[in-house]
Amino acid sequence: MPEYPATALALTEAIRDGEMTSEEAAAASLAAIERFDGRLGAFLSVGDPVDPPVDGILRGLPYAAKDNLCTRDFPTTCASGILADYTPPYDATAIAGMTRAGARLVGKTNMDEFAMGSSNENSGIKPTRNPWDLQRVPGGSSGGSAAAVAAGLVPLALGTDTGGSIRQPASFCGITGMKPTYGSVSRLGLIAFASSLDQIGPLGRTARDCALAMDVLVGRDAGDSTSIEHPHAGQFLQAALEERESLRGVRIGLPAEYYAEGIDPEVARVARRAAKTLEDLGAIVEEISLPHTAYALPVYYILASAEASSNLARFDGVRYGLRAAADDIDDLYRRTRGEGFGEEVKRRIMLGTYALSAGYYDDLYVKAARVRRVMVRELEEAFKVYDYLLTPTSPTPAFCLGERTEDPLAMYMADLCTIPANMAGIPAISFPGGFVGDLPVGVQLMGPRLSDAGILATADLFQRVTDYHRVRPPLWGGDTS
Amino acid sequence: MTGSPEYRPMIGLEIHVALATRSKMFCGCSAEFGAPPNTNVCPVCLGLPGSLPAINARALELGIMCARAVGGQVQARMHFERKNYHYPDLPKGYQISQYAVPLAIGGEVVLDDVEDAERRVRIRRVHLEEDAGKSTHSAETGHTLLDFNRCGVPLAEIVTEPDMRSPGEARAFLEELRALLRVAGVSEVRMEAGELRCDVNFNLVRSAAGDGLEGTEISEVKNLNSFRSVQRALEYEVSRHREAIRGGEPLVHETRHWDEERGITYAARSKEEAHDYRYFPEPDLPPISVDPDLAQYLAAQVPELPRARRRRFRNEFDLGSYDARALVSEAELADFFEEAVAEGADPKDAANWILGEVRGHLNATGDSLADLPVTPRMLAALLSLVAAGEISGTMAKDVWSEAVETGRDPVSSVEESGLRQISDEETLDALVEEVIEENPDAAEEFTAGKEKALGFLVGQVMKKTRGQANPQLANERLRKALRNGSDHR
Ligand SMILES: [Zn+2]
Repeated sequence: MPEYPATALALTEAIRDGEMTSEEAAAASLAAIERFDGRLGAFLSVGDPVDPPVDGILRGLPYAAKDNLCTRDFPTTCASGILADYTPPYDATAIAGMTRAGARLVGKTNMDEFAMGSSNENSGIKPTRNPWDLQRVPGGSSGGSAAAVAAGLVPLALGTDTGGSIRQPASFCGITGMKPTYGSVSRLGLIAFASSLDQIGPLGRTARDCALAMDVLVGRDAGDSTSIEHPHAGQFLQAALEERESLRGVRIGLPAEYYAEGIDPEVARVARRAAKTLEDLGAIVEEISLPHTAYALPVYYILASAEASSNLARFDGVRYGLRAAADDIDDLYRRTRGEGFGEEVKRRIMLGTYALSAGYYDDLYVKAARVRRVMVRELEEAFKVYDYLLTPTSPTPAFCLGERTEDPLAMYMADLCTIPANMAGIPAISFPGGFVGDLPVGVQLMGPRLSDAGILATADLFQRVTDYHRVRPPLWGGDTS
Repeated sequence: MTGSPEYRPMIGLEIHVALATRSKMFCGCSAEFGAPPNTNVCPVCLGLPGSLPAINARALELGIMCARAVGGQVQARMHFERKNYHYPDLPKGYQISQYAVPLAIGGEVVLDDVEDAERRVRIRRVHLEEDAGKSTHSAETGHTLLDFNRCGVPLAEIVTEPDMRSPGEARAFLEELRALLRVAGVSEVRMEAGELRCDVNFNLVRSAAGDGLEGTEISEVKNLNSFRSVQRALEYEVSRHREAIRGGEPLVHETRHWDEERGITYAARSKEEAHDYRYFPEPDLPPISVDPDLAQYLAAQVPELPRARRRRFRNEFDLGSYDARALVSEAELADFFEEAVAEGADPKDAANWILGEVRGHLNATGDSLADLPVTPRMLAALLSLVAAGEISGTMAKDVWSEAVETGRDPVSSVEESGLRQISDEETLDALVEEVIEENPDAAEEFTAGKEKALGFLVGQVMKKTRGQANPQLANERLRKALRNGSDHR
């Protein structure tokens, strides 16, 4: 079998140049999954692509998609018992776009149930392990997608990010993950967790691979009323590949709150070192303060849970998915939802229902929505002065399985640095910034709305002068020969 | 001694009207009524995972026209909210509705000809929402069957202030509202298709110390789908509340259902009432800004409303209030009437003809006027033949029936079949002379004062013309000829 190139860009070039066929690429990916995924647990379903690839910019590229993206050819379960055998009758817009560009789906990836979690330990099916250390979590909720890319089982995967669910696992797994500006990628066919925060995005080994995928994913979709016309649609890769020597004139802020208490000092050091690299490239780097960051976590858990409590109401056993044996309709609801949902999902449904209830709505939901607007304004003010903000992606490197499962609040802390970008709907990317011990650590670059191309190009420039993204984990399935 | 003032009913209504869109509110499925169960469905209206709503602009436009028809102030910026509750025919577990900021606020509907006084019913708000599906419980199998065809059909909910003071007035309001909505083209309001459903709020009140009111606890009767049920349910509630007052029993604020067969209302299970809908802004639909130009354009699309039109029909055409109301309550009849008058028909003749012949035919066949091949111009021409005495009323009805069946112009029918009356005096006089000459005895008898003989002579004229002579005129001309004749003699 020919060498299996590590990046999506190299692989699509190899196929285009006739060095490899799309069949060989899919077979190599499937073979790697077959060989390694037993240990990794990144996939929930795997299958040979049925149709020949369409001629497009991703022709022949095997890829994986998180199991909350609707697919006609694979079950779509959200890693939940309540959707255990559910196969949707349609493809999500993002999936259809990938198909039209020539990419071929080889499997659906494990996740925290309904994307609620930061470690993949909330999967209702099985945990996913981190290819850097099998005792550790890959992060979440797109942990399966991150682990699959990190281990070289697929060159590219789609994830979803509601509070950091692409970026935090990208950080834990030593890869690059992008959450686009809210509305850039259609959410049609994404099984909603929190509609005002959810966004689909790519996970790849490099910023260029993410840019390549963005060229396919980004576009206005009349089927998603919150989707937008992105001014740089189709130009992300071009922007990333542009010849640039420096970041002269680019102003980057380091918000002190993201380097303070609660952040592992080793992780903060990695982020500062990354800032220094950008400074060496010509950027102006300054410390700033975003005091409202302190409220991000509580505000997020109120708003996201409120939306989730409503979004998950449709899983009632009446039309699809699990239906528990029951005596009457109320019993059906109680048993189906009681048996079908896991603990964390139930916790958030209850939290969100409470926040929307008469008597609490004003104090919880309304107040949280107001604080969200204040936080957004604070970020907008910062972006009047700074082009980008650089922070750690997650407060710590990957932690061990079971380490935080008993303490939901400790688990929630893993999203401390990533939540604000979802609240503000702004783009953010996590890319490998260094190591703490043997574990990769990601840094996060945030920019104002619609600065996706700039963020990708900046991360690409960083990757031109660093090698962290080239280091392979001990469990590695790519380049098999 | 001054006794306590009398209790009187205080009634408010919440009306759900299905808007006349071709497709549903948030998906492309047909909104047609009566399709086989679950044939007008898709991932969106079935609430399948991952589906998202996208608003049907026509639903918004019709909602704006509906609001304008009741005089509401359309809000420049509005948003949808989710109304959360579990029910098997509600596939998402929430209904997309409006709450904090509705489509329109305020307005009023004026009822005239009600108990000889003009009554105003204030409108509190109009908002948009999607309909739910339909559950059918089968006692036979113990199953509940679900049909999602209605699910996602756009509705306007119109909420009134509690301004109606009798069950009859509530009914009159609903009839006026139906006429308004039909005229505005907002809804066809087909009751049999469930296109108008009504919740009533009812209590008895009387003035109390100061400017206040005191009264019984409010009863809410849900989901009435005919005007008759609304009136009957309210009449039942009036007597129930009166008896409670008389008997000193306390009433409780509660939701009740109407049992059409037994003619009573009954309390809902207390669980059905304990709803906390947990409204919050629908994150899948961005807020809507209504372009003022569009709102103005749509307001201009709302035609003259029934009350104004009735008034104009009374003043301009000198119609009685019954005729004016009857014509205006069916916009197509009123339009036909106005066009016929514009074509020269006498207004009263046209009104009689339309309310008699035309409406009778429509009621008998269930056709719509638009389906018939007749035009206002045809009617005007026909009526002027009648008015000029050229054909009899019976003949007119015959040729009209033919026109309704075949589209054949009634005036040409008259011409071609020679049905036209001979009303020409010269032609008739010549015939009269012939008849007198041929029947000298009868002529003699008449001049001798035997009135009856004239009937025979008129009959002879009719016979000569195979019935086409205008009998009235033949009569006149005969009298004149015989009188002159006798003078000559
Ligand atoms: Zn539909």
